[in-house]
Amino acid sequence: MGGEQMLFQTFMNGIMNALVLILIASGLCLVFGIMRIVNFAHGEFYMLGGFGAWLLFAEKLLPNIGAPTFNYIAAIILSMVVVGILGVLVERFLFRPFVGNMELTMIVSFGMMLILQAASLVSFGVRDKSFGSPFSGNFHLGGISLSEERMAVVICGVIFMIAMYLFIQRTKMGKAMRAVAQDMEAASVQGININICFSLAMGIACALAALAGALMGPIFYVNPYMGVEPIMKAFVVVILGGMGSLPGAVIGGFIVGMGESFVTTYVGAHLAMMVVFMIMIGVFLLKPTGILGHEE
Amino acid sequence: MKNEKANLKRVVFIILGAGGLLLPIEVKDPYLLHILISIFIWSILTLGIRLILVTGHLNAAQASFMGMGAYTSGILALKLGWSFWIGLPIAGVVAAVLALAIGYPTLKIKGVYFVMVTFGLTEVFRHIWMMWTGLFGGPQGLLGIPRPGAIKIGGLVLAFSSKVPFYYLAFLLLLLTILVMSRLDSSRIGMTLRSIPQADLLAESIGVNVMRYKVLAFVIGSFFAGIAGSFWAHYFTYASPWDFTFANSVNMLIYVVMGGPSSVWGPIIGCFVMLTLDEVLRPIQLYMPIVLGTILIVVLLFIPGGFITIPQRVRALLKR
Repeated sequence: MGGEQMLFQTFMNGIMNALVLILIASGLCLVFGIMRIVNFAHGEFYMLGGFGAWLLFAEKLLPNIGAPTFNYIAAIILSMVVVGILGVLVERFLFRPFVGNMELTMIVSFGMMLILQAASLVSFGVRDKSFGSPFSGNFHLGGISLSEERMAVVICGVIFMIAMYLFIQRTKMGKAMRAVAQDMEAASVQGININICFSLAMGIACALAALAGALMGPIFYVNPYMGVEPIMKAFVVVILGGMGSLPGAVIGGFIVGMGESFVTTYVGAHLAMMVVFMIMIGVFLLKPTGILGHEE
Repeated sequence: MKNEKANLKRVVFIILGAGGLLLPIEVKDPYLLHILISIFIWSILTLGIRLILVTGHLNAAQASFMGMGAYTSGILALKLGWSFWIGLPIAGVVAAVLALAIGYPTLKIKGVYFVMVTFGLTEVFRHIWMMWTGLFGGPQGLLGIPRPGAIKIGGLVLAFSSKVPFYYLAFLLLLLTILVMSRLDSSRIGMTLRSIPQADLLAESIGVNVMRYKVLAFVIGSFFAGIAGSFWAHYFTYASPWDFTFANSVNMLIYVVMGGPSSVWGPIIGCFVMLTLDEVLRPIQLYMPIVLGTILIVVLLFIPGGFITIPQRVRALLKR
């Protein structure tokens, strides 16, 4: 592989990493911005999304509805819906009693993390499950080849980010959610149903995490602990960008995703995480509220 | 009335102390002693984490400070041939100095930011231990750390060849920790620490240097983590990077919250209940995290304040 080819490949990997991180981190952001809940179990929804795609698509739990591509897309959508509903239930029954106490919600989410990991370990086993997605070819652009799988991640990521942006900026519900994020009490005085905003935020967040998991499952593998590393990186992303700021999460996602990809290729994979954390600690010391964040 | 309560507490303390001291005379089963030793050491660690938890900071790096203690006295013993009895306090001091250096820049940060910074530190420490093979032994860690040397009191020789002397040592370390922590709790320092999550701005505005109190709590908690780590290394005769992870710190936090952070006894009860349960449920080990997580959530939902508040709640129920 030539130098330029490698540079481009590293760049594309960086973009893919960034989009996956943004999908996960924007959910974290949404939940934090609206409910002030720090959800450490968010990575487990990513993991469940991966298992959903594996069960429905690779294990053929879903009846065949046509071309493999359709099956795959149906599996992804279905697992997003199921994981989204699970997220709504978790929020309603486990998080809502503790809204307003950030330390307790963190501890509760640690508990959820343990439960979900062990539950999927017990039901699916510890072995890594790898399966191919229908996009297995390569696609050539000049002298450069790109994996279709990875392009699918990038395209899906971009589509969903735009959809989310439009939803939050343009729709009435999105406006209500922004109002709740700004001031919960004032919003409820204006007649906004806070509980619906909470459920919706958690549902969307978990569905996006599931999407990321379902897309990444075929590229790497699926196992009960696959959510641990992405969630920690996603937290770094959210913190870098400023807790609760969606544009901040996009910027943070590109910094971490690119940084990780370039360090992995040119320095060594074992240093990637450490560099990511060094960046985070550095940003803390310079601007503790993150790049686009502001004082509470 | 208050005096009576204090007296009752003293009596309970003496009974527990005497019971703990006399126990190995009756119980010779090394397996049981091992569980008790683990409970004692985890209690020390959780008592340390509780001190900074009451200020609203979730320390996710307690296991790393424990690891630093373990590696410090392990290296002193292996490379320099120093005795455990010198390594033990040095391990505590090294962890405390490290906490001092880390605490000043990071304790300004609150909530999830602090959790993430301490998590990041855990990862950085683990990588340092894994990559600096010459000093820390790399991924396999330090092997063959010697057991503590025998101590002679008069004609009595206490050699660390069985579990019993380790049991006594862990018990004494725990007693020391309880003593320090309960003194701190009832002192001005403890009161200030507890006031921080409710009103740190208020405290600051009346001239309390909040930062200094937080750093102090962090340093003391880490000192005891270092001591516990040193004991751990010489008890198991090895120290590996995989023993001091984020997951361990999370477990410590969970045990404190389950037992109840309002009193010194909360973390100890939390450790006792959960580690015993861990042993009892060993045959279905895979399900243990589910049990742990469920108990945690049930406790938080129905007995906020932890196990320690159960007697109070029962009394209130009976009175009604």
